Amino acid sequence: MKSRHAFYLMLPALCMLVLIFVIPLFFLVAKSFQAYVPGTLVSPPGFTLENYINLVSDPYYWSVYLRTLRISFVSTLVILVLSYPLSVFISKRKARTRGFFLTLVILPMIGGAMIQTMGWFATLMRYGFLNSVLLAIGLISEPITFLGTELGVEIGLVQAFLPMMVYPLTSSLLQIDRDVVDAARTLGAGRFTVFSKITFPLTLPGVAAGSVLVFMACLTGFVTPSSLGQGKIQVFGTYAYQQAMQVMNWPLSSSFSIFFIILIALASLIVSVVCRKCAERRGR
Amino acid sequence: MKEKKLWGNINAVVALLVLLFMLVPIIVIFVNSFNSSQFFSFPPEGFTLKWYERFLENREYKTAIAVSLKIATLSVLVALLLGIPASYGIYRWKSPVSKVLSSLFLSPLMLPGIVWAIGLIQYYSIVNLTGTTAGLVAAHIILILPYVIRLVLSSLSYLDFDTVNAARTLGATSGKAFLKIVLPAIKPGVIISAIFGFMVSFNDVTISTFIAGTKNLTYPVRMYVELRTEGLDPLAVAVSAVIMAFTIVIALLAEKFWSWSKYL
Repeated sequence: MKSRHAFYLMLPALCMLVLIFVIPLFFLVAKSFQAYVPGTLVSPPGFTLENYINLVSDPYYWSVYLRTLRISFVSTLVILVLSYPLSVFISKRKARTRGFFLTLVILPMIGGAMIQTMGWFATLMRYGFLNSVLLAIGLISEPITFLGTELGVEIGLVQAFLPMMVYPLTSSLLQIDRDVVDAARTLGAGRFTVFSKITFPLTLPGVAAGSVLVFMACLTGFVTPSSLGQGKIQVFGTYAYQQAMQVMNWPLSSSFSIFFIILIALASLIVSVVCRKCAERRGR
Repeated sequence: MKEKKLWGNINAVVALLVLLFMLVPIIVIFVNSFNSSQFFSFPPEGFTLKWYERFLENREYKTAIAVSLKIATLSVLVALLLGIPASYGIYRWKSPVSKVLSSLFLSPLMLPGIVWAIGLIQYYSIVNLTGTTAGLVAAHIILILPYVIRLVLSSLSYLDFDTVNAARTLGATSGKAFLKIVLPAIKPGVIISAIFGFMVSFNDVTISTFIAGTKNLTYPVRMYVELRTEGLDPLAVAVSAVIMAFTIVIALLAEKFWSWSKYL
């Protein structure tokens, strides 16, 4: 096929992408360098760095970024711990059963964030499902407050994004050669040695891929922190929404989100360089 | 051997507990949709179908679901019409340019939706697309398109292109070769991305909350607004239960017929 023909095949999709995805991003960047006048969506002409200077100097924004980071870190760690046994279990099933379990795992995700959030709302309310059960079996004497706390948000995030870890983890577990594990066992390695020297290192690509997906999803999540945080847990997504849709401060919401993306990009660059250095040192 | 069995059992118990945790919201919604009490209570006060009856009488939710169905259907159709030729172009055009273009097509998956949405509201307010069906459909196409391209490309990677060449040599037109050989080969990718894309569009809250305006409320946006302002409404619980039931059936059928978990 001539390259011209191939390009024509892509052209309609490309136009759509540029019109609806790329151009809005230019608007986003442009707005972040404009001044905000309360009460109007129109900014006075001219270029300003004021929004970014505010972001760097005002500790409030840093506190929102840090809270987002903390909640996402805890959720990602819990997701990793929970998805490991589940992925091991799934990877040991026969193909058909494996498919069934993988479908069960992804069910909440395709069922939609809103339905999950509503279910968690009913579960975590003051006299909701969880508190009723805990009170009935006498584990607690007073209902625990989950909604509007970081714990509540983390519970929601863990359940929402766990499938993003289970899928890559299961597929890297499936790629492990059974013979390697059997050989190690025959040579007298214990269960923990096999896990720490063979299984875990071989699944590291899956762990890394899953962690990046999950961490990014937690950092920029909006529905879960907004509904389960009850407006009391201000994270990146909820603050960006509030500024864009309620305060109508588009310059701030634009610069606030661009600055966050830059911070994430810088952090991941540092992490990947450090990881590569460590791998090289170990490889030597 | 005994030790191995013991560890296997412990692993199975832990795994099933995690799975149960994953399904807690769904189970709670199903159980509570039959609860006769106006407020959430566990154990349920009594069995009733009245919330389902109210749902059938409720115009607002029926309209919202109709809006969601319309937008999801249109978005999937257009995304397939744009995505299938684009994937075929990427597959056939082996050059660095097509590599760049293909990562550009997948880039909406990389950028957090909420960041894009903040740019989108500014753009839509200028081109007057806020709150319109066209605006929602266009945005949802961007949400679906990367999945279509990724899944169709992965189906195409199993296609042996020599079969197409053979058909052409034997006198088939390029259109006929596409219909008879390429299309059947990418069928699983097309079907699965259509189902998955439909779900993504039908359930999207983040992007839609930003651009839905007040007239074109999709059902998840309506639910979100209600949950944030008025708390838990038993009617919304019943609506969720109905939608979840459909989702479960679709997911299990998709797994049974096309083993879709392999592609996701």
